Amino acid sequence: MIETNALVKRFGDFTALAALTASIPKGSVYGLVGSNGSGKSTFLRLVAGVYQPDGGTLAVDGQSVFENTAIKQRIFFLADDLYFLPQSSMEDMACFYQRAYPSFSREIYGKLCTIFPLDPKKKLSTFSKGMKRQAALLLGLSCCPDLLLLDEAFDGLDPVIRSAVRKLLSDEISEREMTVVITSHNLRELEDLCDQVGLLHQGKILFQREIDELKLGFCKVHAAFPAGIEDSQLKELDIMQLTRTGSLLNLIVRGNAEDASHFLLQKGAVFAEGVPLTLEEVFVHEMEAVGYDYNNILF
Amino acid sequence: MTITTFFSKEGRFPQLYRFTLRQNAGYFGLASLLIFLLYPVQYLMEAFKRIPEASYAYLPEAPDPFSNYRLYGLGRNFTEMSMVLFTMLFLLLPFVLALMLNSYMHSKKAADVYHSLPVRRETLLVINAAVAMTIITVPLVVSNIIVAAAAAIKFGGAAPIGYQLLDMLCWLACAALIYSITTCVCVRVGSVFDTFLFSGVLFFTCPILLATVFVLGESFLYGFYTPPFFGHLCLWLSPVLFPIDRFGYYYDSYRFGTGMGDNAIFSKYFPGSNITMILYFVLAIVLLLFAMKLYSSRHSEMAETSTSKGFLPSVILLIGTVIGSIYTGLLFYYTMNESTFAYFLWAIIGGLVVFAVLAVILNRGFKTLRKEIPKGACMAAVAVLASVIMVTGGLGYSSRVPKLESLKSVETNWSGFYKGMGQNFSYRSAELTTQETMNALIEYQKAVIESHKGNPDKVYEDFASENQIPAYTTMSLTYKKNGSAMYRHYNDMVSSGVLEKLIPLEIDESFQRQVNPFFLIEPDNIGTWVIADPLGWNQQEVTLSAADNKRLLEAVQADWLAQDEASLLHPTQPVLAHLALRLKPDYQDAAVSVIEYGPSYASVYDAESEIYMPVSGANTIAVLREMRLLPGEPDLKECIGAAVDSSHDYDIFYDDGTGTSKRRFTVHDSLVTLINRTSDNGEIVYQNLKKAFAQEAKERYYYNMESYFEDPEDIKALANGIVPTWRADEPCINVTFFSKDHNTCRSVLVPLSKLPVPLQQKLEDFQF
Repeated sequence: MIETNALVKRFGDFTALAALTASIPKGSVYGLVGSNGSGKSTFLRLVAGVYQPDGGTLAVDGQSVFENTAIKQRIFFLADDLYFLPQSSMEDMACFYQRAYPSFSREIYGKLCTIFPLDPKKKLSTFSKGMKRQAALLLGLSCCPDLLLLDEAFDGLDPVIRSAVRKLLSDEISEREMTVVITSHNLRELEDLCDQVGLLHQGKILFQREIDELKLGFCKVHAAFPAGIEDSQLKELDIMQLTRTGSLLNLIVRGNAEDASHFLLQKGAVFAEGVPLTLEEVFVHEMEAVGYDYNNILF
Repeated sequence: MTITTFFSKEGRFPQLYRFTLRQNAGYFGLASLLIFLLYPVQYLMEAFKRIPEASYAYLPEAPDPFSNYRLYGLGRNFTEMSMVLFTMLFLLLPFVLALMLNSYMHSKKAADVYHSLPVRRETLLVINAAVAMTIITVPLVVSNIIVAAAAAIKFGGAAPIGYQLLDMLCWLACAALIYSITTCVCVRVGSVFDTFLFSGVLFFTCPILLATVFVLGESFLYGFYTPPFFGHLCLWLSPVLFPIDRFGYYYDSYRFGTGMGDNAIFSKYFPGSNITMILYFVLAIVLLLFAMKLYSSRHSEMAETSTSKGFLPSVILLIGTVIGSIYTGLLFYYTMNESTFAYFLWAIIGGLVVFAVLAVILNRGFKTLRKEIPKGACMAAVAVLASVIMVTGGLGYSSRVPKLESLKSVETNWSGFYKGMGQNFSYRSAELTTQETMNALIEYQKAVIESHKGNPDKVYEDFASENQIPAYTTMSLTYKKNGSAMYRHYNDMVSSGVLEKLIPLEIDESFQRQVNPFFLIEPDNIGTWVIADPLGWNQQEVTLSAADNKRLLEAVQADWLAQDEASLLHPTQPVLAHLALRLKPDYQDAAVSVIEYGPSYASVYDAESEIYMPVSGANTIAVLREMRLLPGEPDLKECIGAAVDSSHDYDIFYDDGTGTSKRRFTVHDSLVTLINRTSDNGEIVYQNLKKAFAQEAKERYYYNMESYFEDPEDIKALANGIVPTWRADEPCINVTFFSKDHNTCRSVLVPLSKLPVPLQQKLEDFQF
């Protein structure tokens, strides 16, 4: 769906994206993480056709986006800083998008209005931050885009709405093979939503993986050794991180949790069980594996 | 990109246009209301006002149905109030709309939304332009329809509705251009403030730069001439000034074709003004297309940034620095005794200061000011260098004189004796083609330059030492060559010797036929002749048949052309009568004055509109004698005194009504002045003044420290010295003879040299 090759974007002397190369497949939910100023929003604006690239190529379905209305009518960009027409209501904005997007669906808009607890006739300026975000998402989904670009889209949403949005996105993806690109500086926001994540740092994708592939490669195991155990006895495990809290060991190891637990029980653990890794933990270790200190990049 | 792209297949243009218009319905309504209040409502209030009966009484005779209404403009569709307020509103409206509708590109949030829409940027710009022009055009058109309907009802066929509608197009052209210029700036800058600043500067740049060239020329180049056209051109160069210029002309069916007053401007500049209007439309479209082109490649990230770098800010800085530099230099040039050193010094300082102020505004602070100083110094240097040519004489401009053989003709505003006399002939100019007259003008120019070059103050020094009587002249020259022209204008004090270079014009028939009202007037337009004796007494006003008018006029013309240089400067023939003609009421301003102010003013205006000459030529005397109109010799015994006013002749004299030789032409000006001063009560005051005039005049002359002679010998000597004309640099006095019975009298010219020495002595003692 999206192919970038050595994509460059500069703002004066500052290079926001430096030779960014990425590929985002159709029908996927791609999470883009990175610290503030890493270039996430810039990337989305380039994909949305707001910005013009200064170098390299960017193509959506093989075509450049900037001033290409045929492609742009299949893309909806939801910026982190929302804008609505002055003095407008959600209904006004729906009219606006309806005139701009041929694919805008009144039916979907009507349906979504029943899902989100928002008054379409009320002025948007009276809405709270979260409500505005819901309204923007609602309008974006009503445009039925093939590519939805969400910049910090979940910022300000309560868990119930987050869950509803997640479901809506899943439905759209499954029904229409919609592609979603979500940026965030918080991995926890993305882990239950994305198929693929990329880490953007200093204008480059440092790292890009399938979520499942990431999680399959590592496991986290808790084990209790009341009598204690030496590090040398654990050599057979490919340990990436080991922390001790009294007799309790927390291990992150390569491989699967079952094999690791079995090994630890054999070594005398009173219990050993695998627990799910957070995406953040996966990132920390994957990045360490490629030579970066994750904590220095994201936090 | 093609036009069809704007109106994309999906029909998004009309849909988005309607949506944007609906979004801006509030502004539409507000603009419509304000336009309605400030234009048609004002018009209706004025056109249908109640006219006082006293004024209304004259309406049936009024050739101009608008004379009782204070309606101005080409279509007589604006009141004083609407001229000011509607103009302000209508010129601000496109500017504000352009700022408002395009402001989304100056907001990062809004740019994210608009620039990610599947709508081309050009389309967005055209939609906004269409919405803005709708908001502007609809109320204007509706208002004009209301005004046109009201004008048709009120004034019938006299209502210049065609001109009113033409003027409407002019307003639209200005609005379109203002919108396009502002839009062009919008797409090049990052904030509304910068758009406001840059557009504001651009609106006034062309007229100010052009005016600056003229101001520099007028300040530093001797003889520099700014033709009146360029004054209009300055206004035509800006859409915010153009409508103001158009208020200056109005079509007046009553005066049209007479070349009088405002209609002269109408005839001369109206076609150019209409061409400008068409160019405005074309330019508005071109600039909008240019803005679309620029916008298609605009970097969205420019939003919310200050625009301190790039072409546009550099141009604004340069313009500001140049203008600031030159005007600061000029300010100190004039306040420091016209010192060129002061000019250059302060031009540099002023340029740097203006640059610094602009740089601080553009950069929103002082941080980068130090870095910008070299740039500012360069711009100030450019400003100073731009004026060096002017300050140093314009590459020989000041001393350049054309060669006679290269000239096709010369046009001049000089109209000799009759310049400024009679309102209908004030603006006449003459185009001369004979070798003698063209050479005379070249010689005059050479003499003026020479006198200025040697010592500009010499003329004053000569005056102080009584060597010469200087004259203040205003001379415009247009030397026409094959396909080119050279303009010069001299507005300066010259010695009368310099003026004498123009004598060949005074006796040239082609010149006289172009400037002298006795040659220009058609016999059919002559109302009456006023004939007085040599002392200005026994005035009789007669109306002649068309044939007699023609005969008398031709006699006057023949006598005029019979003059030679010697008879012009030192005539030997005595003055036998004073002859003045008054125009028919429908050919002069007096008629309008009567309608506007009432009948008691008629005499005042009649008096001013007289065309006068002293009669000493054989042809005129013969015709007057044949018609039994030649007055007899006055009886000096009736004279109770003679007032001598010598101030004009011992002081600097002005060229208006003087020409190369001295004459008296003023028609009992003291009386006219008094009437003008106290004529609030009309007829009653006028009659009382007439009765009291002799005593009044006597007291006034004494009060003014002028001479008043009552000795019969002195009176006789003064009467014997009367001449029709005299050499300009020889002292003359103006004498008014008073009698017991003749209230009307005329000031006559008497050369000092023609008086007995004791009387001369007496006058000089009294004078000084």
